[in-house]
Amino acid sequence: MTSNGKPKVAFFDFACCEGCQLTVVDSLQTHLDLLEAVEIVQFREAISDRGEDYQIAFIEGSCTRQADEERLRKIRAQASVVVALGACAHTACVNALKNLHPLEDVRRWVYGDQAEWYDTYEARPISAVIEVDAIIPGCPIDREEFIRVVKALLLGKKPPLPDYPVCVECKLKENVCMFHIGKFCMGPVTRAGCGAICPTYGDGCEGCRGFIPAPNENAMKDVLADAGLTVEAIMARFTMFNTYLVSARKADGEERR
Amino acid sequence: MTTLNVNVHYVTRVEGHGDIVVDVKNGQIKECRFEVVEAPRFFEAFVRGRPYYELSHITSRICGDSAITSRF
Repeated sequence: MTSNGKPKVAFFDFACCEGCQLTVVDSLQTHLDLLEAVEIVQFREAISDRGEDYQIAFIEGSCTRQADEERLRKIRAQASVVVALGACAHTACVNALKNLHPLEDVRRWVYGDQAEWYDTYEARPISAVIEVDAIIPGCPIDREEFIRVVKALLLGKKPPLPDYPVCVECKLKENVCMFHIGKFCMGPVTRAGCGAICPTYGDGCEGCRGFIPAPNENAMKDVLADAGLTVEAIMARFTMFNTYLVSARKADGEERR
Repeated sequence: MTTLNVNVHYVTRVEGHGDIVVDVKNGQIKECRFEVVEAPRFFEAFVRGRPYYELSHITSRICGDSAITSRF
């Protein structure tokens, strides 16, 4: 804590597009009162200060190389609260698409003769390396959800994380089901909290917020198949944002068998 | 004659990690480098074998500050 009793907050990024941090800057423009409640000591995308004394760390991005682990552990050792900010930190997001190919090929396709200059391993969420206290899902995060999470943290509460699917919020918005207008949607197995923004604007959910707890994968696949998708297209829907989760669930299932 | 040593360990207020190194001795630039030090993400590999309709959705994730231009 600072002498004025305000918690010190820092923002960090790993492999990501930094769009979630941009959403943070955007949210703070309309919630200036939050800036009164905390002191931001490090936030490379927005300020030049580089304070190493902080209590709350927001981490955007996936862990994609050995060197990232050390930096993550250092942040964990300093912060009392670590928040995974956005899908890259939460589920490894699209970064995990490269995990579907042999890493040697991945490096060679992109960097050719110089492939060995670019260190990388399978993309993983930060929770694969350090303990995470709170999650703000989504690609990008929902600005209102960010505000809700920060308010909960400041009150010393565990931030709310919906455990029901996007369909619940979609119904509350009185949207016509995407499947009824010939579109495909991952809403039935995707974690809510975004206000069903994609279906509300006429596009099926892509699953960027990760799965609900215990999603019924087979029922979702049946629904997509009935709607006319091939097996390949169904798997593409599952893996676009959630390759890491799909692989982890598969490995987990094989272990239990 | 000017002797200057600039070492900016990451530039702030931009998307991405970049360092600037400038070394000037006796008015002569010996070294002038912009180093991109962030983790490579391998987007060209992400899109391999994906359905065509996914591509703009994936490539718009290259940069959150310029998602629309990254899309193209």
